[in-house]
Amino acid sequence: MLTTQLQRAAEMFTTSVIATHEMDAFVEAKEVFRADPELQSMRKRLSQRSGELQAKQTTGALTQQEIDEVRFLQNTLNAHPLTVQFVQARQAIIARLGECNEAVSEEIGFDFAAAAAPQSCCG
Amino acid sequence: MMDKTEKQTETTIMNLGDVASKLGIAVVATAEYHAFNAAERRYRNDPQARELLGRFQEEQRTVQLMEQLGKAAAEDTQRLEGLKKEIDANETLAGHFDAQEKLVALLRELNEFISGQLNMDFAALTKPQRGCC
Repeated sequence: MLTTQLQRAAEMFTTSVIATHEMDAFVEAKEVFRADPELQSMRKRLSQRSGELQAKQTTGALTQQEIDEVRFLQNTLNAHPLTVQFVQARQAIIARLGECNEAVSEEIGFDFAAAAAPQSCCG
Repeated sequence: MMDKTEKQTETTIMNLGDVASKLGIAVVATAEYHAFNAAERRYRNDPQARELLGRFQEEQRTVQLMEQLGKAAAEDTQRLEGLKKEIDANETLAGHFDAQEKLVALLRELNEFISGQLNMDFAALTKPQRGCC
């Protein structure tokens, strides 16, 4: 159970993070990335073709041309300016959060994130 | 409880690093952190407990390796189980593990709170990256 003091410190921390330029840029880039009709169509097409090709792979009917087609779709999606903008904005906010984790960790004497992160397959 | 305007005024005069440091200081002030620190000190000052844990970890690595090679013998596993029982009965180690568990539970709760506010998992995004298993 979080103490009042801890909850207050956490609220101040999150309020400050939300007020950063990096968080603003990330939220905006994510919304644009999700809502853009061209990207929506590309993601839908990629997902559809990947599913079809996975099914073909199990039967051994997959051709090199089809593999190249999916790679092309993936590369086109990754190279789209709005995807690049979203990825860069995400990297920037993660870098800022990483600095925050370092500051918290310095006070407590061990890595906060390593101790507090949800368990994954990698521990 | 401060209202939103008060909080924003207070946070705008501090940079993000300072606010993060204050969060760390608030963690240090908790009962769970104090208990962990005390248990950690007790462990460091108890050579018998350190030696026992060291033996257990070494034995555990050996048994895991033997299992991977398909060569684990029943006596290896029994020896490991025996050491585990000794660890469970050791007050220093039991206290250390208990304090550690409670502090980690608090930190996870704190991370859940922060992540809920930020709409992204703070700790998962910033923890040291390791190769997957």
